Amino acid sequence: MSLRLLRSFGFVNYHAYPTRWTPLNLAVARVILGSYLIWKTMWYDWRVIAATPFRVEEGYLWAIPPASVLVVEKYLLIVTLLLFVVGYRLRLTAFLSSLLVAHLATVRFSLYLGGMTTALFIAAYALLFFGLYARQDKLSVDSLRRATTQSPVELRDHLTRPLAMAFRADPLRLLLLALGVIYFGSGVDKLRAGGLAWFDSVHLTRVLVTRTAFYGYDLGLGKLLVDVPAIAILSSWGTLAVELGILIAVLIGAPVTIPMFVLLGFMILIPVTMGILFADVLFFIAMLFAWDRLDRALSPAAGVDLVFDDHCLLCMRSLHLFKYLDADARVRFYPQSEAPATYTNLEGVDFERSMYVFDGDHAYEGYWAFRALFAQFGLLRPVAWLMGRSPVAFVGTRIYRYVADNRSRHFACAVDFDAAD
Amino acid sequence: MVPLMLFGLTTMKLVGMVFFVGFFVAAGIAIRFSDVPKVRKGFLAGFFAVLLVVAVASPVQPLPMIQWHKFSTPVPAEETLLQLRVVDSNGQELRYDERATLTVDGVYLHRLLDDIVEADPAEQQEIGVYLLERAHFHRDRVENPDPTRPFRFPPNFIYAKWSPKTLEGYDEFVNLRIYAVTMVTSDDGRRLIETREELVLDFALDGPSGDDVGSADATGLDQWAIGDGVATAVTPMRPMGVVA
Repeated sequence: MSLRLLRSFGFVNYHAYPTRWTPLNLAVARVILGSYLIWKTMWYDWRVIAATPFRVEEGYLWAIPPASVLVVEKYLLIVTLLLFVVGYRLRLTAFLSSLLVAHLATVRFSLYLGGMTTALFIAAYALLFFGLYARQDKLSVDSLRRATTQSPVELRDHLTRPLAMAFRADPLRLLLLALGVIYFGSGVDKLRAGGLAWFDSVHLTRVLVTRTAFYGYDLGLGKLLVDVPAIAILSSWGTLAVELGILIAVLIGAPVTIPMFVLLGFMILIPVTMGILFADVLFFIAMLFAWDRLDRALSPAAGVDLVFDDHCLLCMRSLHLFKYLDADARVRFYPQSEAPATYTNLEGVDFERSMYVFDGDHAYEGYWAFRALFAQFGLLRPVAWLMGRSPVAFVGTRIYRYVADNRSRHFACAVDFDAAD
Repeated sequence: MVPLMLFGLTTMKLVGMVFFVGFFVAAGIAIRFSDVPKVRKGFLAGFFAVLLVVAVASPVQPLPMIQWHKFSTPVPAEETLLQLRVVDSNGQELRYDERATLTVDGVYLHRLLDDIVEADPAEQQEIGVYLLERAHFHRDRVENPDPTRPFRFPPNFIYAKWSPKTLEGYDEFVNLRIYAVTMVTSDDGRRLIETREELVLDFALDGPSGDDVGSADATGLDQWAIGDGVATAVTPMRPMGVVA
């Protein structure tokens, strides 16, 4: 692994630095959040949950509707989350998803009070944050929908002018703050309930020894903590430091990479020592990762030239989101009327027929131009790889050809710029 | 507390309902008018103020506000926990798998066991029938795994679950038993000095099992019988191991 790639691994203190040079992190976090919730909630059997003849928490019995309503909610939630993932009507889908997640979690809470239920409420907060700042999310269907109201000149200018390098990510700032508050509460509770017991090894080793005996599983790596008190003390202090420290680091504007990696370490250590996996937290941590830095490290150094039909609204709209990805200006967008002569004179190149990407001596046309475009962005390179494989390429080339050949018939094209101006 | 009854809700439950509904009404308004900074900021200020109080100092969790308190209370040198076991027709015991209680994940079993011990006979019977039926269902699911299982969301607990191997040699499950397991650890918490257990309740679809159980109703059907209250040495059970 190269040093450049290694150095790109980190987390962002969005509270101190809410503005990024690209809207990428916000979009990746949205996809992670929605996908995680779909994966987690799609398996729940609400008929069984509703039919259970007992509740361990009776304070929320009012929230339990008939099983059929819960089943409808489950599938409605999947629909709203899918729309949220692609960024369609974000305010509405984020709010509805949050409400449904919180309601289903409340029903689940009547049977299980632990982390795998309460994590759903944290996810519900994150959804609300996305809804509150929906306009910040530029890499979304909503952004594309807004582009449909833009004039041809605005669309062309968006592609050809330098990108404004200031994109706020307030939903992630608020998620980081909420996690900081929740973990701070956890740390304070440990000090309040355990006091000085948390500063020696006894508490942790006793938890390990009694749990393994009670549940009848092997101590495994936990034996190391039991046998070497210094490691147990270090783990106890580390737990307190991270739980209390995240909020402090966030508020004073300190880097959060180390606390987050320590937290990640605990998320790996806890399953192997105590047999408990907080899988939900891994997704929250992933949402705060600096994906833009990784994208930059994985992207090729040299850029490409792209020639598009600036008389075709569909063509310009299809490139709209790529421009937001192109924070480092690796792609030079040229309207076909302003394409460099070296390209216009190339044999076989027909700008009226297709979009082109030029990478040195190589010219990519149509579907393959899109694939070359995807390859310019580190995080999208797996998509580019997939686009080069059959049957994706087989289908993709034919779809592109059909759309390109019929764009005047089916889509808004042939813009008269003199009239538009 | 003076119980305020409204549609069968006590004061605390009513407050919980109003808070939950009020929270999402406020959130909906804040999102609808999120272009107005004052509205958005007002909602967020209230949100974080309540979250801080609940996470740090509140004795209750007014949903959707939660706290994340894990393993805060120190384990005493002598601790007693209730444990549920299934018993096959040959009298072999196996610790109940929490995942049996629901199709996905499970219920808060230790809290449920506390409730069962305190419940009236009719409730105990209903829960006993349910848990034994779920044990049969879960056993079948473990022995004939659903092909979608590897694709499911990772479970919270990854230890001590039933697997086809741990179920080998067990006949049909016919009883449930609740034991009070007492564990005594050394002062430094590194060694288990003593473990003893006491049968608290015994449940069978055909009435209580075993001659040694002090039965409340030896001829009744689907009954939980009260244990004899005699502490015994721990019954050796096969370790269940780790199942991902």
